[in-house]
Amino acid sequence: VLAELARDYEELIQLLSESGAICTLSLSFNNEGPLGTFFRYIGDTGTYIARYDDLVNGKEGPIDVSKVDVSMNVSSSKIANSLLPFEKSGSRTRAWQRCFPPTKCSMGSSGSSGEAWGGPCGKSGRSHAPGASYVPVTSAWVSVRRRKVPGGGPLSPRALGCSVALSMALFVACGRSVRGDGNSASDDAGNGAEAGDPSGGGGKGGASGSSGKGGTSGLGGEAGDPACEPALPPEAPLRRLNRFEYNNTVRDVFRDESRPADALPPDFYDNEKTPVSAELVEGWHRLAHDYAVSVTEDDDAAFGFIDCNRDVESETTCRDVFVKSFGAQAFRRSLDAADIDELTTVFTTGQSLGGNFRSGVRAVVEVALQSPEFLYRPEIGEPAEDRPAGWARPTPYEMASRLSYFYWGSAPDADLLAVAERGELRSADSVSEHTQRMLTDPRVRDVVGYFYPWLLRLHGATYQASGDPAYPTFTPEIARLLPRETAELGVALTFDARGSFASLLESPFTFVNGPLAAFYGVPGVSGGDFQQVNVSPNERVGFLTHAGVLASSALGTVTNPPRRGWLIMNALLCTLVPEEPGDGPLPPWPEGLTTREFFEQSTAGAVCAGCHQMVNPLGFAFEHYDAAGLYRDTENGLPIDATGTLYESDAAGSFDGPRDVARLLAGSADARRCFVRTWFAFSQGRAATENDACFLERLDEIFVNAEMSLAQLHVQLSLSDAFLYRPEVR
Amino acid sequence: MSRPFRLSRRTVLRGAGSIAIALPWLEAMEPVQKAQTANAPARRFLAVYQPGGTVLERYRPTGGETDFVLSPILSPLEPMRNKIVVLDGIDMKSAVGEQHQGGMVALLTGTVQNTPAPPAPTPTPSSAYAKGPSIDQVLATRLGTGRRFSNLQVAIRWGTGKSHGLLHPINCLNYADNASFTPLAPRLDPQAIFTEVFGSVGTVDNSWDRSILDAVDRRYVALAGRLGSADRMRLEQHLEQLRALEQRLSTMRRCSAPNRVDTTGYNPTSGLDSSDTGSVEDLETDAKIPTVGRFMTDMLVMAFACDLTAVGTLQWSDSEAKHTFPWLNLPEHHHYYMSDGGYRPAELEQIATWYSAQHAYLIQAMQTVDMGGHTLLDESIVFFGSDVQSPELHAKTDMPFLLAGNGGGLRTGRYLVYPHPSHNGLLVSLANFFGDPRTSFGDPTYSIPGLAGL
Repeated sequence: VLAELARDYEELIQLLSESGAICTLSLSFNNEGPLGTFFRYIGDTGTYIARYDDLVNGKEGPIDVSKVDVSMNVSSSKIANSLLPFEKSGSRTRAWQRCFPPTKCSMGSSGSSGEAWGGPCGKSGRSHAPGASYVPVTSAWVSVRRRKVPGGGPLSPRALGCSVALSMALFVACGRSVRGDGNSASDDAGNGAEAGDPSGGGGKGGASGSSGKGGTSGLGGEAGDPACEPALPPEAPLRRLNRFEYNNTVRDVFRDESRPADALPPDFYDNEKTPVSAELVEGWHRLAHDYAVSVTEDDDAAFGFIDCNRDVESETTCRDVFVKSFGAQAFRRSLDAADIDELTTVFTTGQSLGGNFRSGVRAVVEVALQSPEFLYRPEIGEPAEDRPAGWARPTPYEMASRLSYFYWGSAPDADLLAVAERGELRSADSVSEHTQRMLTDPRVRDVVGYFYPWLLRLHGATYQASGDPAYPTFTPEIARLLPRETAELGVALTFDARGSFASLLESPFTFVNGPLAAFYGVPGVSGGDFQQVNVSPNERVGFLTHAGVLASSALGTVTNPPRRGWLIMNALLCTLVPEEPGDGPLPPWPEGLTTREFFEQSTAGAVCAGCHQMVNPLGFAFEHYDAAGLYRDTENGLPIDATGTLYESDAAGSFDGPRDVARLLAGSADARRCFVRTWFAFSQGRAATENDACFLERLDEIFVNAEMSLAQLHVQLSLSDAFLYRPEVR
Repeated sequence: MSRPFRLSRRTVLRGAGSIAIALPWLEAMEPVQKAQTANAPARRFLAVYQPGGTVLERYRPTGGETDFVLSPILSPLEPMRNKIVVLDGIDMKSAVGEQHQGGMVALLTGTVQNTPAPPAPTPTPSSAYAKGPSIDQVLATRLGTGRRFSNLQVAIRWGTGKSHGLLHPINCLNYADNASFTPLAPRLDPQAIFTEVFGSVGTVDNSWDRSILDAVDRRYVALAGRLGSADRMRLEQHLEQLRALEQRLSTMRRCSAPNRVDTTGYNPTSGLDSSDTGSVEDLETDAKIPTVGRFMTDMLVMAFACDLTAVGTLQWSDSEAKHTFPWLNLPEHHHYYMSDGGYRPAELEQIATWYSAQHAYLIQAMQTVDMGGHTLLDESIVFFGSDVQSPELHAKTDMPFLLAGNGGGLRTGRYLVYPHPSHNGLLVSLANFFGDPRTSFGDPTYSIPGLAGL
């Protein structure tokens, strides 16, 4: 856990003082619940514990924080940003600044406890005049995983986040120079980069250096090399199988169609950056165990696995055949001698513990399915002669997995493994050639069908209005089906309808099956299969008006416009707005207010308005849809006002309802660029960095020239440097 | 000095680097297993049935959510007060059907009793039983894979009165998680259960899992050494979790079979000889109920502790309960005090209080099992219920429901009064504690989302 925390805490908020000193600031958020109610800060000279608004030292001695006049009432935020393509770009900075304008802060003078500020920061702090101005240099949010109270228990009174969110700032890290922006997702590139050159230049170090110098300007940093040959290789952090990929893999490799990974803990939006949990490791253990037991119930079953005639061959021969073939299937590559040795040992140990041949089989299956080569996609790479030092390319087997998981969400098939075995897949041409075959496989549709619900945060979405008597037709079955609609539309637009980015937003048709059609009130559809239907143009437009998207944000039985707006800002404009803790009870709701009026009033305060003025209007545009995502003309008899203005990005403009919002986004270069970067992030399992800028700009261009063809974008992604190369492992 | 700012685990531990670190306290500072348990879904579910409901005015606690005072009937639970949740005001609305049968059927299924009633003693499956699976079976589907028993149902002094020792809606609580909701009979014979469940425990050790996990461990170590630092760190994280798992498993495997108790004189199938009215007595078997009850309890607890199962049901008799309580000096059978001999609250209170003491024993036993940094009770939820609130009018409002255990983060030491929701909401909540996100359970007519505030 600590190790992964370290990654998270690379993303701290750093403040630049007028004197040039940098303070690293971490915030403690209103983290409700029995388990996460306090935070521990470790500084040079001591440990401090923050509980809500109180701060104590390691011996529970209270520390006076009344003199600290910084009070950034930041609501609890998840670090859903890790894949955000604009992680280092200006949009995020703008969002941050609008949410939390540069704050005056002082360290408190002699009045505060010396112990509290006794570290280097204390010294530094005291040297500043109270009221010194700080500017955020890098901004990010510490990951606070809010535990959902099972059964929807009593909810935090702080929940809307704005009113009484905890404010607690502790400065302990102040130095004379910027230490780097600490925002990198991977060590590999960072290790090679000599950072901190204050004059700037390419790469991360440069970005942070210029941040330090120029306040916020350096964050605009998609400062790619115009020659399009970045000095540094694309990052390639280790990928692990998510539930979708695990299920597909065991289906394709072991013909197990039971979707066993559905029993694993749900994936996160930023799954690759989320530390592997105890439940996940135990879940994987259990799946391996169950599968191994199920395929070795008796000798027939166990031998059914092995291409070996046990009447003719010796057990040893059969064992060797099995170890090699099963190991290669599970590891998605041919085994080397060490692998064979190791798995053979596993086999013999299992055989002697269980006292029979099939126990050996069982042991190998159990071990293989928990091995990193199965659960992850480790890459060592090989030299890339055509590139500068520090670059490498995936080996053919590694490339086979890159291709198959990108296009199929599954393991390479036998053909692809054979291609790898022959040593192909070492060039863009070779990759491109095999891509053609892969695109004819129906599994490409599965991946695209996974992408769109992912983009809109529908995987694992909870539908609060479902099952509530107020929405009798919104059954759990409907809730389960809703993300399918979005998936089906995305797939159809990509592969069947020559769709474009704009068509996602403005599609006049959608896909429903019988139950969903009944839910929507669409006539003439029955059965379980999804089919294309035209939407009523006055009521629906594009995927943002899918009930699954709209209902995923409900607050109980009412809509949650800020959250709807938040989704658009984050998912479609890549503008990171801190996440609202949207699971709280509402403050008192005066009689006769519409949802819009209620949120306008309750978020009008200075603390809230910063973020809410960005997200509220976009959400209000969708007030014609209730908490189940169904169309309504009025809300409790009150007229609905769906007008508003978007100020952020080049999609800025005034609107009345979702059709206008869709039009603004469809015509927005920022939204289009965001979409490209989100696809990139999805394909790479990481956010884009400066090293990818050149490719992404080229891709932007290709995308525009191809009239924003979704199919083109999908194919182009496997032709990037990021796809074809990786850093050398040192 | 000018390398990119990076925080390694070592840096954190040394406190070097002068960085303010806000560590979510529990994640970072608690032993892994504990954090894991606290954040994880509940792992084990036990349903406990006692016949005859309770005597409400002698059962209801007084006071508020946390400062409640246990009633006379619940007083034996005082030592475990902080480990239970007393639920009040929940109505078993789906208990539609015959007076006791409807309650038996609904208790764990949240469905109405199917009609028409079959002629005893050979009801046909799915004719007068439940119309949906019981919560324990649903959870068994979720949790049960990979263990010797996907679930274990045991009953003590079962099949009395009208059911004549055979499966019948009047004595059946468990319904399969399949399309026909097959009614499931409990295991009855304590000695047979011991042999079946624990027969091999003495010889089974954890060498299998250890050897598997050791081999897996080696693969992570070997591969980690070949990767770049960030990737290596991720594999090392995995390795940490793997080792914590190993530790949990090996601690858990310190399980041992409970002491085999002599139950001579106890006839587990005494019900086969029963008469409708309870006129046929088996005092020898009745006298052994406390002994067998403890033994059954110990076996269930150790079946959990040894990870032989994750789901169980402990059924004290059945809704007929036509057996006597010699150790309480109550010469008539339970149903006599319920209604056959006229409603007799004094004797019923005595019986209900005795059951509370058995519940306390069970909770205590689960509390003492160390599962590797946390107790069995910490990872479990026990649901105590009956088929009626009170036998006087066969009322099914204000059901005497108790929960125990902290699995899934259930907060105990509480007395919760509800405004008469359907108990289907409780079943939903139970599923939710086990990580099943469903929002309904049982008969749609009575199904409501999970209970607020639980």
